[in-house]
Formats: sequence, structure tokens, C-alpha cells
Amino acid sequence: MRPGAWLWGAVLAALALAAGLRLGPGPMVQTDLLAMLPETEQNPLAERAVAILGQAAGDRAIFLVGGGETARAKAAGRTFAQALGRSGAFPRVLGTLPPLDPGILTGFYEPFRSRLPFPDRPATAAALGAALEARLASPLGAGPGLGPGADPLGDLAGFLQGLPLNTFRVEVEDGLLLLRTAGGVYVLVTADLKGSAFDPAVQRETLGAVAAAERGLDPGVQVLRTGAVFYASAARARAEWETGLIGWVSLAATVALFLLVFRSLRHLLLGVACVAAGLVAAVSVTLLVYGKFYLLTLVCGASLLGVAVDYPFLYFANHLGAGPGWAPRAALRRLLPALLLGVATTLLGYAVLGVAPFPGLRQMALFAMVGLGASFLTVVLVLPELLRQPLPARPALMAALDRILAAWGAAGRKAPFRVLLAAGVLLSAGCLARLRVADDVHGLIQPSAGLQAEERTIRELTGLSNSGRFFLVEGRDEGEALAREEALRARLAPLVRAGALDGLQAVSCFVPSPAAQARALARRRAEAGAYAEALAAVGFRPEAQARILAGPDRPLAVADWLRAPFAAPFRRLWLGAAAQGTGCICLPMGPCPSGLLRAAAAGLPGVRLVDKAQSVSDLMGHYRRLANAALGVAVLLVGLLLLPRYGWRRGLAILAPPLLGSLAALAVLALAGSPLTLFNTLALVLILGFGVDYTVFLAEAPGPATLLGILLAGSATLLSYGLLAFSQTPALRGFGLTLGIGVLVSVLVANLALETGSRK
Amino acid sequence: MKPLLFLSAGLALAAQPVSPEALTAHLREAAVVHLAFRQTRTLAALSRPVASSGSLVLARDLGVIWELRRPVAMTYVMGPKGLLVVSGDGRRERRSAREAPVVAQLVQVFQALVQGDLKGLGEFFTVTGAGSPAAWELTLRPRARAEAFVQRVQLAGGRGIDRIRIEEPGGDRLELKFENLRLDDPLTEAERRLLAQD
Repeated sequence: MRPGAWLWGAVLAALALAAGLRLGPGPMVQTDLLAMLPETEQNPLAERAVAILGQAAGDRAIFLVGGGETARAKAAGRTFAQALGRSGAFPRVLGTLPPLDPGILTGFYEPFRSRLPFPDRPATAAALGAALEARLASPLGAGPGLGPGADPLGDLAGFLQGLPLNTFRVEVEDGLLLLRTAGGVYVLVTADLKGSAFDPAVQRETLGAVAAAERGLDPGVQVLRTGAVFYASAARARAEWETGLIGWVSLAATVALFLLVFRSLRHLLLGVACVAAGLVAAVSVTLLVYGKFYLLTLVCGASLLGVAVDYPFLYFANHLGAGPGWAPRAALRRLLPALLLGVATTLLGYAVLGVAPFPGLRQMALFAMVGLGASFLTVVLVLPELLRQPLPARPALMAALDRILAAWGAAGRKAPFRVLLAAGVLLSAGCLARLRVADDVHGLIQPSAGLQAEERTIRELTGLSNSGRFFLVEGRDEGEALAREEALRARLAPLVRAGALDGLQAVSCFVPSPAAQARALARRRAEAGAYAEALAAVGFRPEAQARILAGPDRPLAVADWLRAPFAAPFRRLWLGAAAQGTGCICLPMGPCPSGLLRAAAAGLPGVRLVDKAQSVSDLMGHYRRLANAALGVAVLLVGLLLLPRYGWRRGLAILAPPLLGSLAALAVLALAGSPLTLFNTLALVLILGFGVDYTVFLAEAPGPATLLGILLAGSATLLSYGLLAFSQTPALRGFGLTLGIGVLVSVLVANLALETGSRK
Repeated sequence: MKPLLFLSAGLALAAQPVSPEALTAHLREAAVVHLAFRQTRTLAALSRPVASSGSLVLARDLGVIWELRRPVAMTYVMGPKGLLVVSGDGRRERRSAREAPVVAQLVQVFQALVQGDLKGLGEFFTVTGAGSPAAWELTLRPRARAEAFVQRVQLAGGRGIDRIRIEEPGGDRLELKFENLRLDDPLTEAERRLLAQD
């Protein structure tokens, strides 16, 4: 063997070894679907906030148990929570909120009460006296707080009732969190996970424990669940299934094609070796660069099998048709220009795919480029060394192919074909008008529909918020950040009153800004005289009056609040001081459209609505437009590559089939009513890459062997990408469908290249 | 009124001793109850008790109208939609059930106390009963968790409820006396409109 072959083998082995060494002890597959999305926020504080909220939502599982009448729901909820607790899969299971003693809140806020905001009221003795009398006679009571003796107007009580402690629609009853709905009564159970929701071991243990706990319930009891752990494990299971399906089916089909056409075990093994070399290189390089596979790469990587086998197919097909005089190296030299052009156009297509800064797409592109490149190098460097004996000629097959080729080429020159083609082009162009575009991130991240329905129900029932959407409030310092958040809350208050929002979680609800505290203190001092008069008139004893009027007036700082145990669930809302200033998160609760939120906050300084899903969708739209432009550039570049060798006329004829294939794919999209997404555009880029391969081969070596190679390569590509059309991820489905149709049509009209070629 | 609020937290479950339930079973048959009330609030901080009076309408599933006439005119309507407060001068103030979740519980509490619906009080209180359906008395004593808020609640009545007395630890006391009980008198048009909270 030549040194090149040995060297190439050594490179592959070294890559595999390095990747093996790099591989850590953790799982090789990243099941966090969000990880493959790009960072969308220019502001690092916003990305941090997204991460903090995502983690808070990710490290626990939430269940609603019941669905029937109260007693049964309670019994089921208790049984379920106990079973989860016993399983050992969860360090902490909560069937109830930690009982919050109202005395704790009163005790915490009492020292600051003179500085806590209170409702507007006229500061006259008469008005305050009437308010006092109404209050003491009212059936509403003072609620939590100091009681009517120490807080007769209920100022502290009003503040405490305004705290967003219970924005969930649950009631505490009998030690359980109960939810009464039209569909029955549910018990809310939350459980902390043992580790990361994206760790397969944690996923297995969690799902096992939940399934066991469910088996312990009466039939008919409903269990709704949500949590990153369920999404991640469902996504992993599906991706593994799809990868297996695509991988095995294309492998089986490739093996069948090999055996059917070449009738040689040796060729089969060599072909598989080329694909295997491609896979080893792709897996190793991807692991070396990224450390982990995204599920998208796994599924798409499986379909790469069908493309990587193209080069051995073309080489062997040439071998098959050559007869006894065939010399491996001489044949390769003849084929090399076509192979090189083909591989260059395909790699160019994948490179365009990697232009968008989506980690998921870039990994997919890297994987494909390395895999195809390695498979190509194996064909060029290794196959001629190992293929000494020519294959027995198959004159009957070749003769048949020759007839097909002649008929096909002739058809291209005849009027019916031209008319058909023109009609197809016109019809397709007409369909394009109906094509819509869409950039929804959910095309890329398509969580299981069942889980989504359960999550939606849980959100609707509990008022649980969507943690991917929040307001980021920033200020120079703590005081400015809190004051800006108060301005935001004032703008959002009408939405809460109208019921569009269930409520707001914000630090400034708990800690009024220094400005608001100073205002409250000033107002209290201004009304002190009138208040004293009113208290005396109603009959408050002098010592009680003194206690009410001379409340302590310590300023309340965020640091005081952060130390309080009751603040624990809300501490993540305070981002604290960062390089740019101080930041906090205001979390809108409930299913309010983002547009309303954005409009409400418009023009407020230091306030921004962060909506991860929307940002990613916007970014996908941006890159769809970019990819459209890149497609145009790629067509030009390929044209420039072809021009020196083939000239204008033939160059256009070679370029036409993939363009016609793309047009057909777009028309089918429009007819099927599916929108044009970033992924369809990327598929178009690859249609160009593959389609030009076929026409270049046909133009370079028009003959039955080339036709055979193209038919084999086309079938393998069609099969492996066609299978993607059965993926549950809409993006991959659209990608597969577009590519399949595009490749099919490109092959069918590849005779255009032949026709002009032979005319020359 | 703090104890009333607190009672609300515990409403809705638990098995009760049969006798107190049986004593007040007849109170729960009426769909609409009209009552007049007189309330006396005695606070340690006050040199004299604060008295108030007015009328009360309880309509099953629709809500409660608490109409205060003295010392100030003020009507509180509590129902599934939330709270509506109508001042003497006709000014209306509204709070939705989402803003004031306490209101839904208050409705239950009124229903519980005035119609003797004891379901759910068991988590916070032990309930003992005495007398007969014609003249009964119920005593609610707080369990450990409620001791800080209320010392004792007493309810007394016969055909309807006559008296509620709530004692708090600091010596504060709330007494409600009811009279002019009318069972199942149809709601007037004005009451209907108030309950609809339109």
C-alpha cells in the first residue's frame, strides 16, 4: 500500500483515540434541547437570568394528582407523594407548601412598617375617623398583621396581603395543596430531582419511581406531570428510536443494493469501510470539538450514512462497467475531477448550513462535512490499494442501462418531455405564491405533544408561569433598579386587574424602593396629627395611640429580605450587582401574550421583556433570510466552479436539474401547506450540492456505469433523507421532505445535462 | 374580624363528630337567608366598644351581601366573582377573586358560621355541641396551630343562628347578634343585581 493510505489510516486511528481520551465519564448525548439554541441576548445579565430561571424550573418535577371528587383526590395525592418519597429517587417531596406562619411575616416587616407603602387617603381627621369606623365594623377583617388594636387601618395587613406569596391558584387544605377545577379536584405535588434533569441515570431513576408510584394509585386517578426531566427523557428516547430506524434501514438498504448490483462481499466490505471511516472521523471530531452530541446531530448523522456511500458507489459502478482492462489508479485519475467537484459542492452546501450561530446546526454541519470528507478521502486513498481484481463484467445489466440511458437522453430532446417540464415549472412557480414563511423555534424543539398538553393543563390550573419569559430590570444601583421595577409594576397593574395576568413576582413587591419608602414615611408624618385626632375620637386609649403613631421606621434593604427564610423561593429574582449595574427579574404570571407585555413596558428606562422562545424565533427568521441569500451566493459559486470547465451552455444545463429539484420541493411545500423555514432553505442548499454531483458525473463520463452510480447514490440519499420525513421533529421532517423531493426530481431531470453534453 | 379570616383557612374537610352537625343540619336547608345583625367589637386598645349594625343576605352559590348601616353606610358583596364594596355615596370599588383570594374563603366562613356548616373547621378547631336542634350551642376550641389567633368561638341558635362570639388571646372580643331571621324569602331585584356584581 502507498504511504497515503497508511497515513490516512493513522489519522483516523489517532482521531478516534484522542476522542476516546477526551470523552469524560458523563453521558455522551446532550438531552437538553435548549442547549443547541444560540445565545440570543446581547446582555450577559439577561442570559444569566435565563439560565437561573431555567435551572430553577429544571431541577424538579411537578405533578397534579386526582381529577375526581375531593376525598379521593386527597387520598391519591397522599399515596402518590408518599410513594415518591419512599422510592429514594427524590431528596425532597412536597405535598404541601412549607406552612407559612403569618406571624413570621408580621415579625419581619413590623420594624419597617412606617416606611411601607399604604393606600392614598385624605389626611383629615374626619376622613381618617370615618375610615377607622368603617374598618372596625367591616366584615373583611384585618387579615394577617398586627390586629386592629395596633394597626387599626390595616396598613401593614394590606401590604402583607399584597405580597405575591400565593400566586398559584392552590388552597392549603388538610396539609395538601388543593386545586379545585371544573374537571375535579387535584392535589399538587412537587419533587426535587437527585441530579441534573439531563443526566440519563437521573432520568431513568425518576421515571421508574414515578411509574411505580402511579401503579399504586386507583385506576381512574389522573396524574399530570411536567418538568424538564420528562421532556429530556422523552426527547432522548425518540431521538434514539429515530436514529436507530434511519441508521438500520439505510444500512440494510445499502447492503442490499451492494449485493444486488456488485454481487461481491469484498465490495460490500470496502463500501462499508468507507462509510465507517466517515462515521469514525465525524464522531471523533464532533466529540473533540463539542464534547457532547445534540440529539439533532444524532438523528441527522444517521442519514449521513446514505450520502457517505455515494462515493464508493460511483467508484465501484465505474469498476463494474470497465471490464478486464480496468486499472484502479488510472480509473481514479479519470474519475477524480468529477469526484472532487461533487465533494466540493456538497461540502459547500453543508458549510452554508453552519453559517447560522446555532450550536445545534453548526454541530450538524461539522459532523456531515467531516463524515463526507473522510468517506471521500477513504475512496481516493484506500480503495485503489485494496481493489486489485476487477469485478466480473455484467454485460446484460450494462446493456439494459445503456438502453435506458439512450431512451432517457432522447426523451430529453423530445417535445412531450419539454412540454411536461415547462408545465411543471409553470405550475410550481404558480404554487410558490402560496408559500408562507415561519420561524417558530418549536420547529426545532418539538417536545412530545402529550407532555405539552399536560404542562399546558398544569399551567392553566395552577397559574404556574412560563419561566422563559420575564422582564429584566436594570438600574445603576439597588434603589434605581427597585424604583424602575415599581414603575413597571404600575404599568402592568391594569393587565392584572383585567385578568390577562394572574399576578407578578418581583423583588420590589417585598422590598419597596428607597424612594417609595421615603414617600411612605413622609406621608405618614404629614397625616400624624389628623390620625391622632381620629384615633382619640373613636376611643383609642392614649398608650395605644402612641404605639400606633410612633411605629419604628428602619429602612428596609434587599439584603435584609434576602436573609429571611420566607424569601427563599424568590431569591433567584434578585440578580444583584453586575458589571453594568444592578439587575432583577420581574416574573409575569399567567398566559398573557408577549405583545401586551411589551406594549405595557414600552418606553420604561432599564426595563426589557426577555422572551427566549421569541428571541430564538426572531433569530431563526434572520438566518432564514441569510440562508436564502447564501443559497443565491452558493448557486453563483457553483456556477463559477463549473464555468471554466463546461462553458455557459453546459454549465447551465448542469446547474438546471438541482434548481428544478428545488423548485419542485418548494412547490410541494406550498401545496402541502407547510411553511418555509430555515431548515427548508438549508435543504435547498444541499439539493444544490447533491444535484450538481449527479449532473457533473453524467457530464464527465456519460455511460451506463455512471448512470448506475447515480441511480445507486440517488437511491441511498433518497432513502436516508426520506426517512427523516418520519421524524417527530418538524424541522427534520421538513428538511427530509424537501431534500427527498429535490433529489428525486434532480435525478429525474439529470438527462438535461446529458442531452446538451452529447449534443456538443 | 381576624379570627373569621383565620377560620377560613381551615375550611373544607375532615370528619366531624356527628352531634354538632346534626344540631345545625336544618340551617343548611335554606337556599336564601335574610338576617339583621348587631356587632360589638371590644378591643384592649379602645376605651369603649365599637358597635355597628346592618343586615345580611346569604344566597347559596351566589354569595353574601353584608350591608352595614351604622356607624357608616357601606355594602360588601362577596361572591365567586370577588369583592364589591359600595360606599354610602354610591362609589363602587371592585376586587377580583384573583386579587382577593381571601374573599372566596370569607364567603365560605360566613356560610359555615351562619348556616352551621362545620365541614372543614376540624383542622383548626375541636367542635363540641350541646342542646337540641331547637336550642343549640356549639363551642370551637383552637388546636395548637390556631391558639395564637383565637381562644374560643361560640355559636348559639335555634331555628336559625342567634349569636356568634369570638374571643382572642389579647382580650379582644367580637360579638355578633342576629335577629329577624327569614328563611327562603326570595331575593329582591336589587339584591340580585348586587350579587351579580355587574
